[in-house]
Amino acid sequence: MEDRLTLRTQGPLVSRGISLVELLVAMALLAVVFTLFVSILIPGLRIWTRSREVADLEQQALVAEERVVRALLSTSSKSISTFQDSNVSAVALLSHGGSSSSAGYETTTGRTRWTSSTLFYLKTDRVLRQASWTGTSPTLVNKTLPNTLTFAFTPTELQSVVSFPDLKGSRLAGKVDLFALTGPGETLPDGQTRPATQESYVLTLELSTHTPDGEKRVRRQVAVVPRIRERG
Amino acid sequence: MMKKTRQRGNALGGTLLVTVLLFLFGLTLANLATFNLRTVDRASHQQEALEAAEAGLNEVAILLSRNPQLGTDPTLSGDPDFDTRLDFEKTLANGSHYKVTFDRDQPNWSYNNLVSFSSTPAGAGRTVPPGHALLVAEGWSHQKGQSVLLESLVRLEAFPYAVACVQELSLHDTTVRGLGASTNELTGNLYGGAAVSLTNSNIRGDVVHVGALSQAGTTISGRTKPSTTQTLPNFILDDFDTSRIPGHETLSAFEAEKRTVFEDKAYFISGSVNLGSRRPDGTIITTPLSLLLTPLVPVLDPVLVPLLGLGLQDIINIVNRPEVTLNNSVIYVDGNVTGNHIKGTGAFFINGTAKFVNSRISATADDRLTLFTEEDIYLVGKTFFGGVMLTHGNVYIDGMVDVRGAIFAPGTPTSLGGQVLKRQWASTSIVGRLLQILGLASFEPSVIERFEEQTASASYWLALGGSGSKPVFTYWNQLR
Repeated sequence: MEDRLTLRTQGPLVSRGISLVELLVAMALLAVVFTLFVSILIPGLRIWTRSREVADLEQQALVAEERVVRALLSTSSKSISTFQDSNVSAVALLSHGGSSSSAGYETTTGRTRWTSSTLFYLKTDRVLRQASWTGTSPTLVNKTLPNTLTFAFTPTELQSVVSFPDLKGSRLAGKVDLFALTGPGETLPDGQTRPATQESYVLTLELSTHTPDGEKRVRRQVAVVPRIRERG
Repeated sequence: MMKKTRQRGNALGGTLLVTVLLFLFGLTLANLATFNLRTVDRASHQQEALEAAEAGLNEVAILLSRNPQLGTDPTLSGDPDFDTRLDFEKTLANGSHYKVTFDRDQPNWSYNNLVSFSSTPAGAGRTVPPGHALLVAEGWSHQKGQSVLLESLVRLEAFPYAVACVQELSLHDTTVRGLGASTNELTGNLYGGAAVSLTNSNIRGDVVHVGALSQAGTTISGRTKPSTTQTLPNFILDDFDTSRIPGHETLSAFEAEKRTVFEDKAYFISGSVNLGSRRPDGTIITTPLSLLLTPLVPVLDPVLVPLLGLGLQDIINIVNRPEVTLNNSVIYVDGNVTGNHIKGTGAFFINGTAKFVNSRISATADDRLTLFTEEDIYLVGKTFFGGVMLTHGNVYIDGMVDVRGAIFAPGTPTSLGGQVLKRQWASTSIVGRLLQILGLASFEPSVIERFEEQTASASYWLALGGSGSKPVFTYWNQLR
């Protein structure tokens, strides 16, 4: 037992070192293993990257859609206005300030008390949300808030709002190519005309990104019926 | 020996450290990989819960449109088949479920204020407007307990027009509009089930006509729409007979004529009544005008009655009476009603005619009156009416009216009613001129303004009578 221990601690192999052949063999083996590993990993990484890009797009589209849909649900169709040209696409609607602690309606008439305007707009490739107009905005003519009578902005008013230099909306989504809200009787981005009798609005969002495998596109389309019914 | 032991420990520690790092790295990767899945999963469950809550809202709103007393105290109803349920809970086909409760001992309770004429406090510091129900619905997804809480105000809407009738509609020198001003104004639409004749009028809405339309000197801001016959909201007067309501008070016509205040309860008046026409001691109130005009009665009545539907004697009996106040009163009259000034809120169900001369009826913004009559309604002179008139007979307007509510004449297959006529004879005939001189007629332009708070109140009664009224969400909010 003692002899074996002595041999191990003072063994000739330890003092002799590693031969060049051994090193080369080890390196070759390592190279083979590494090559195999990389050849497996790189496509996986590519798939991972692509999936991440697409998932990120999906995520952004989902978040933007959820925010716009939620605002649309809590408004009246008569407050919705849209504007679209080559530079900008915008949707404006009225919002009430209802919450768990305060009711968003008039307690004598039951009318919804509109407290602010919410603007969703696509500028360059980002969808932004601006929801800070209370009182009289300098860009909005004869439309004051709060108000229990529902109104919608005209396309001209909406155009002036989105070109307002101080407009600094919060970002909902990036890499957006298309943001459109199509009302009853209007034409969808794919050219299909919607029946005028339908009450719903169709929100279309299209996002795209460039991956090593080429361009990836995500398109979401959802129909929403504003829940507050306008009197009249 | 010490050195060897330390080396062994290092190897173990290093291995453990690497293992932990690898484990954490793997966990992070797995977490990242499933993040999107979880986000989509959560959004999906949230949507499922929202849809469940909405199903609850819609279900209860439809039930309210058929039974507007749902969720209220069953002892207030005389109906033996009253639906006493307070909880409305259901599991949907996808496993999600909703709950709407009117039980005040439970959280997030709803409140039915459709029946009321005044705002009422409800749960969570809310106040429910008159003629509305506050519905709170909670929905849960089938898995993972995602929940959504929705709050909504519902009212019933049976009156899409300012004026509607199934027979001839004739207006002159009248503005018909909706509430509001300029671009914010709501529509004041007209519907005529036969010929529609509009002269020197201003219609701020659409004109829907089944028969021919004439519009001399008339501006129509909306569209003129030829139409087939539409079904207007209708009622069966017997359904509103207050004598079946527990706690109702029966009055003779004599007792009713002495009253200047009707309290917050149901009344049954047997026989025709001239409101506010007697002093508390029962003697008939006379005025200088009545003394002056009485000699003319035999001369003018043979001319007036065929023309107006009421004679000078009627007019003398009606004008200059004390104001009668309704405090959320529900009054069934088994006969005719004549009246002058009425204020407050309430509903009249009249199994005969209603005649008002130079009257102020529900003139303040908070006043609401619903007037259902089996036979004709006459508005003579200068009359302000805040509320909804609905009759199986005709509506005759002789003079100037300012109506804030709606006028409906749905008729019945057996009645001769269904017309709304603002008659022009009075402005040109000798009798009309005489009435003008006496201050009993006015030919200033009239206004009929559609006013939803009034129509909401009237819609409740129609729904109660089983006619059904479309539920309308005037407020909607996702609280959670």
